Amino acid sequence: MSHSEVILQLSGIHKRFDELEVLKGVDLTAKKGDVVALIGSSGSGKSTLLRCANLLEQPEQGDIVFRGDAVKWAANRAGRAPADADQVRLMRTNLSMVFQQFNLWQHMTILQNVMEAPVTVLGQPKDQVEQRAVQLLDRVGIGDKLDKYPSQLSGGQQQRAAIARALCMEPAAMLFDEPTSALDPELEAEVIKVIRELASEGRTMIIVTHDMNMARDLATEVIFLHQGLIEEKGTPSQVLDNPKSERLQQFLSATAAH
Amino acid sequence: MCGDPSTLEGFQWLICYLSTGKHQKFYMSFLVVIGLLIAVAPLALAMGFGGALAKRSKILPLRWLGSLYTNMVRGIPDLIFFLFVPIALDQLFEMIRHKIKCPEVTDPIYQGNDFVVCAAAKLPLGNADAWVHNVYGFVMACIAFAIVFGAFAANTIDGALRAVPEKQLETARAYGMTERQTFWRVQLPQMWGYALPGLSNLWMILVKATPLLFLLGIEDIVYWAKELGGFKSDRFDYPHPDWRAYYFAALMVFYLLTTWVSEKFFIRLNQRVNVGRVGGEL
Amino acid sequence: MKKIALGTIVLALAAGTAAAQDVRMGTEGAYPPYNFVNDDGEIDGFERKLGDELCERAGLTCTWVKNDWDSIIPNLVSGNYDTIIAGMSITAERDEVIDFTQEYLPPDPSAFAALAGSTPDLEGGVIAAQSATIQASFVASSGATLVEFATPDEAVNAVRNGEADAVLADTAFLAEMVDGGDMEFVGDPVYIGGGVGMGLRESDADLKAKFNDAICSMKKDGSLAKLVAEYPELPQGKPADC
Repeated sequence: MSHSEVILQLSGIHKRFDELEVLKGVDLTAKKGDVVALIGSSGSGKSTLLRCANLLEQPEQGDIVFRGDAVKWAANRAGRAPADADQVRLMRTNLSMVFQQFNLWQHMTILQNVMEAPVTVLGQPKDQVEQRAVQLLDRVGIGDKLDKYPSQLSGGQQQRAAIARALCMEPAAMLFDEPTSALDPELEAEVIKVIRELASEGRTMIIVTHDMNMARDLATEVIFLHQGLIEEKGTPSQVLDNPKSERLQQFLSATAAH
Repeated sequence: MCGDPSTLEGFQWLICYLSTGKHQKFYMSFLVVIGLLIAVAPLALAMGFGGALAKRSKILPLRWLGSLYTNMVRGIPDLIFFLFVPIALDQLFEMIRHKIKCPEVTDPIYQGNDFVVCAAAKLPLGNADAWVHNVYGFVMACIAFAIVFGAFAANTIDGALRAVPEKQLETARAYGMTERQTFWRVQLPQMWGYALPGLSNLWMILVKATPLLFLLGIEDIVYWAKELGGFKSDRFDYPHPDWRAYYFAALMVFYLLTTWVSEKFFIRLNQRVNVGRVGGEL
Repeated sequence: MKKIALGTIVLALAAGTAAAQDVRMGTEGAYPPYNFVNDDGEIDGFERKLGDELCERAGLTCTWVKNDWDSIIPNLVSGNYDTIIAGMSITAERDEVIDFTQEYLPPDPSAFAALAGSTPDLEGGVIAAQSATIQASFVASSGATLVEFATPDEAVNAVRNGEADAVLADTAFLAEMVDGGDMEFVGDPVYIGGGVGMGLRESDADLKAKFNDAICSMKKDGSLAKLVAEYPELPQGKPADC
């Protein structure tokens, strides 16, 4: 039963940007150790769904429950907003995000980037965090770049640093937003290798990806989003090898042609 | 050595001439100008910060205040501001002191054209040494400069804060930082790189604005250059024709040197604050 | 006199300091021989000596303050100093804003000066004058074109570098400036303005009375005439009686 602790549960998520309704009622559940892959064409709402999970986007409707704790909402002029800032921060520190464009803080060295949030946000002692950060950077293969600035690193190295930054928070789950999309193919492999290792450790992850191989290899569940709705979901073999819906079939053949 | 100037000749005359009490005041006035620059820069920067923060504040009246401040200073010619601020502040201070120190005086403060406060409310006191008056005038000038240049700095800083990429801030929030932490840990440090070109430009304008000091009653280098360079009749110990061109040439050298040193300084500073920024110096 | 003494005591009590009243004397410091900055950087000239003597006779502690001509009246009115002693002619226009003591010099006729050997058109040419002076108003209302300068020195220099055909200023000051030999007086003197007096705030009746008394005593004992005689450029005529 220990394997079935629910880390994150989203239900009935609606999100619109002005006139455009991007999510039209989507559910997602990530239990401990799950690797959920979100796939779909661009504009399907997969990235928005991920950003709703840590409230970078605020859905107008739907519930978000983190470890049994439902996000509290308060009505405001625009509709509603999270009522408890501490609750939001607690969620965010437990759901570390890795961005498509890495988003390393430009004015900090790689080591400072990794140490920043644990020290500033979690208030952990510096020396302890530094030790952990150095280990993590070593682990993702850039232990020799501690004092470099992000702009001095290749895209692949930056993304590995960003993953180390996420890991250093010791999060309950990791959110990946197309982590390899901005990388040249030869740099992609080094990042995928790191993510693969994390998956094999049994880390809980939600990954938005266009990489069907990664989804097939790593995911415990694959969700195919189409126009703001879940079109199909299941195990990788169900969804990727035996697609039922016509749209998913089209999508898969289009990506395979790449 | 300089006993009787009329008997001196050539080089010795020149040496003695250049070391008169009047010339020493001239040399001191360079320190006044440099002192003003050094005092105004951090003050204006602080005002700029305050202005920029007020403009971005969540509190509406503060936001109004910030906009009012920057727009007012930008909309009104500098010269008017320079003349207005010290007079207005001086009268304000004296009025407050008048009310506190001489409550028994019932005569109005404004009598026709006159601004009359009791002797004890005067700033500085009428019997204060000349240097107290000079320091007071200098401080007033610094405040006037700081207010004017602070408004321009506020705009530069505000623009630079906006220029920090949203993704950098969003990432900070995604890692649980509060708005305050996001501002101080990410937005502010990254702002400098965007603000520096504007701020260094502002500094150059400040350097060139220092001759306005004389309008505020401070004997700055331009005043002394004019005074010393003007035609001097035999009434003076060192009579000479109109030499203002030489004195102004000396001022030009001073200003060029100041801007040259500033430029070097800002190039180095730019390298420092831009460390790590894409396209920045490493 | 009794009232003044009482006022002084009250002031002294209020300030809690020196018994002698402190008076700040405002002058331009750029108008030889009236007032100028000497080689030691001190204010010097006829009015410095006169002012110091007047202060002594009135029992005042005086300090000297330099202020440029343009703002010399506004800064008096706003209390930056207490008197103007700067070769200022007593005119009705100025008297509306400030008060004057009795004159300590008779009217100094104004005169034109131009480059030596030139024959400028004084009625239709370009005439330089210091701004906010009686001479500037005079030129403006004559047929000539007025060019104004903040300092008297600059007005004279405008003639030297050809910007103006002639300069109109007090004779005493011009006498000093044409000293170099490249310039000379031209045309007839112009009689404008009243005698020269000290300017004070209208609300400062006590101080005005003190200086009037002191000027009067200098006129009576002949010390004023003696002091004026030390500066031959100044108008040597007798100022109005007390």
